[in-house]
Amino acid sequence: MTSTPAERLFTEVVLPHLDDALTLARWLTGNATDAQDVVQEACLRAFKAFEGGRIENPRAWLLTITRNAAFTWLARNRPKSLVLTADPDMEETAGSAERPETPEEAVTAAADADRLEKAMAALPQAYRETIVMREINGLAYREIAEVTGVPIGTVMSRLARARNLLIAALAEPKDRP
Amino acid sequence: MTDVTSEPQPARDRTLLLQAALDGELDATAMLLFERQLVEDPALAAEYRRLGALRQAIHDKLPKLRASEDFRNRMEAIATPPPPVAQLARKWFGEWQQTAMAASLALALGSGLTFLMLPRQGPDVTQTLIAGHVRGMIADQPTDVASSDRHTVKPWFATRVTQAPQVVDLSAAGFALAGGRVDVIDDKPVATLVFRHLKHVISVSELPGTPAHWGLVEGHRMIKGYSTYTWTTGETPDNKTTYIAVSDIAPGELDALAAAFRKAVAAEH
Repeated sequence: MTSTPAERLFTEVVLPHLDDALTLARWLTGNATDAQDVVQEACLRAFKAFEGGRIENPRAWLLTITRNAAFTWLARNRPKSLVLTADPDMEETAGSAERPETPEEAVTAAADADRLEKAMAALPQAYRETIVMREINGLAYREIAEVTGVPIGTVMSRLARARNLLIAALAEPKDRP
Repeated sequence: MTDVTSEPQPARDRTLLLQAALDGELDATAMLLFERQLVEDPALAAEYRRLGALRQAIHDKLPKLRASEDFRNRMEAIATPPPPVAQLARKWFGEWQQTAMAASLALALGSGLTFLMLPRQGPDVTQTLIAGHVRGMIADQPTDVASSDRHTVKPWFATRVTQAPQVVDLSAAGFALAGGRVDVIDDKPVATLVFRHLKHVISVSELPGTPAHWGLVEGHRMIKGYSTYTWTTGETPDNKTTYIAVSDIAPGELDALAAAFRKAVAAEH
């Protein structure tokens, strides 16, 4: 069976990381159906970009393309969501003071999936993508920095903030909207 | 790093240290120091446990998405150059498209469906399997594992193909199991059983899914002097399995094999 270099590259580089691409796209667009649109677009872009030769980190490479495709998709379909989260790093400057009380770890551990999902969805996009890549995709700081194009220090502070916001959201009384 | 500069330096360092420790980004020396700090500082330890609990909750409750087989195939098709048949189909599709553009566009917009189901593209599956059969005949052995015992053949496949095939005993019908072989379609291993009937060798390949998925049609087909016969088992499209037999015997003999095969499969369920 013969296959072209593009086919081989695609099979070895892109297909093994489809789950990761879909996961990131799902958290950027908000749902799994739109995520498929985004990842399909990313695969098309990836295929066109293949001429360039060797790819050092296939997963980070595909996620970078997926992320860009997601932003194009968001700009077209949800322009407001991009404006709202344009520069989250500037929006909040308070540190741990943003958390009024110190919730028990048990509260966090007992959070149901629905609540956690809502809390995650409510995070500013830059925090959300960072923690998704870290906790769900399992990327190292270096890789997240590569995909998002920010220094490792920023990755770390975004992670810290994302985690604090999630813990705070899960600690709120349940009957709040 | 504009976002935490307002925090006092030690608090900020502490926050970042917690993240790095949690994420396994500290080297051994730094981690050792951090662990010592945890023992001495209950507040830090509590914070660390909270972060750990959050991590556990995310891991347990927000799993990674899994690409469906269908989606994976569609993405794979992006890189597959269309064979001549598909090019013809596209040309036909292009002409058809002009007349039906408005309708299909409306359909796509209405349903939010932006993909078209792509048929599998690539060389003809039957011809590939015939090539496998011929290769088997030219080699000393038509099989990679030679055994008439299906309890030897099935486990042999288990480590070589994603799903071990149905291995049935058809000796009562005059088809003796000779062994198994792995054929390759689209770079993916496919399980092929080899039977002997009189002096002839028959290869039976098992393909998951419907014949249409593989570009096959049920029934007989003669190619380059080889007779092939395609049949399926399973009721719903989800559990359908396609079998294709290749041999140099008369087509009628393959019917008999398929009938015996179906019966044996049905008896196992």
